[in-house]
Amino acid sequence: MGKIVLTVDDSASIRQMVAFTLKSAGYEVVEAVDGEDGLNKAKGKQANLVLTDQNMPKMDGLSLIKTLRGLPQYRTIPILMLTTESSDAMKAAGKAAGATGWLVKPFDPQKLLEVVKKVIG
Amino acid sequence: MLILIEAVLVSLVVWLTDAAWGVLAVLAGAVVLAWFGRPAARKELSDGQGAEADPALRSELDGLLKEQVHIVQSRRDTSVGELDRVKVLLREAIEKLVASFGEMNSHIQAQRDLALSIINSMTDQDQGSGGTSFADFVMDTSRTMEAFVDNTLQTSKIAMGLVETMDVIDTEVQSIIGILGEIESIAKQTNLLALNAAIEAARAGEAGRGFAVVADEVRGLSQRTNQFSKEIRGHMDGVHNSLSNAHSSIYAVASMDMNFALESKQRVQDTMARIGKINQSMTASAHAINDHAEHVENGVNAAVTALQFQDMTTQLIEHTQSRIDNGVGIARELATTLAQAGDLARSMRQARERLHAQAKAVEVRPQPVAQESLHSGDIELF
Repeated sequence: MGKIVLTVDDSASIRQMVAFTLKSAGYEVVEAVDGEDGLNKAKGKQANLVLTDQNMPKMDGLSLIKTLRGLPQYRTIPILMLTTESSDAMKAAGKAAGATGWLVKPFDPQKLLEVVKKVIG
Repeated sequence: MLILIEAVLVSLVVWLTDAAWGVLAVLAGAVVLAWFGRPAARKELSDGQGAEADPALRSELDGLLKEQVHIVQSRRDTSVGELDRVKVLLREAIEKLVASFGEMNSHIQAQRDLALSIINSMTDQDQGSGGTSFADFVMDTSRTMEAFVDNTLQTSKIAMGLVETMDVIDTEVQSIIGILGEIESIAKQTNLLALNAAIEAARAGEAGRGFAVVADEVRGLSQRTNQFSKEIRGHMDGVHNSLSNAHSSIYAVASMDMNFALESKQRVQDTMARIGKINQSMTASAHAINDHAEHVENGVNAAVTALQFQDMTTQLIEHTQSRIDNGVGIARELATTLAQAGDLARSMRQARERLHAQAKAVEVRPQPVAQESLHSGDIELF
């Protein structure tokens, strides 16, 4: 059974692209439409990696990371930010919130796979 | 006072232009300018009297501002609605494109796997798993065929040797037949001697009677010898004929086998060379298929990267929509402030300050998409 990646993004097409990229490499992908949905899905099924957008309705990516880091089962799970935000200030905020890395959109499927492999194998 | 009004209007125009909403800005400006541009309004303002001095003018201003807000609101609704449609169209199109690219990618991956399995079965790369490669099969077949052809050649050589041995036997038979001629000649001479002895015995009369009996016996022996010799000759001729027949049959078989074996050997070598070439070209084709699949996969990856423009443009559209909403709010607030103002000049000053403050607030609002191209973004691991 492949490792589970939770992708949180309000854009259906981005979720679709992340899912097809990771599924082709044997990962299982769970999709969530915003931060709140992401939090519920993360609690419902233990993910090996969380890949989240920043700007989303209900709960944004930084809040999701902070909340997840408060849960014992997600204290050490890698969380990658995948967003159009590219400012140093936002990256610093992400790092402070507990993000493992920062990927600026648009992502190259091959590079995304490399990073995911590097982080969770 | 007019300078102040112009400054307020310019601020509004500048802000609205920034929101890519120049048409509405000009419209809003024109409404307010038309009102203030009238001689009566100029006079009132230059006299330092508030617009409240003339209730009719105030009512006209109120009406104009309301109309302006109504138009601005209606344009906003149309624009935001159109942008919403753009978002929906983009989303639906991109979802379909991504799905079909995804499908394309899975087929390409299947194609690559097939090509790789062909390459593995053609070469020795599968031997670790205990399978027999096509190259091995060709080698085995080639070796078996060569062994078979070599055996046939060997048999032919032995048969040729046999033919030579038969020639030797035939020569021996011929010399035996020659010796039989000698025996027949001796028997003939013995017969003649016995005949002479019988004549001499008859001439001797009673004294030669016993000798005549011996001469007769000798004659009988010579005749039997001659008869045996003829019988042996007949058998030897039979042996000679049989040997000749066997000689031609074995020779025919030996030369036929030899030719067939030599031709077969050549054919096997040619066929194996052809199979080798087919093998090579199939392996090369499988490699080419694999390469093409890799190119398609790279192309799909590039397409997937590019298709993410929808996410960026949607965010930019939403940002623009919120700016438009913000602009409508400012226009509405300005209209309300001016319509309800007791001291028009002071209200306009305050409105200008608020406009400046709001304009700055918009500028510092975070811009979610800074990208100007579709090159894949930076990756940073903390």
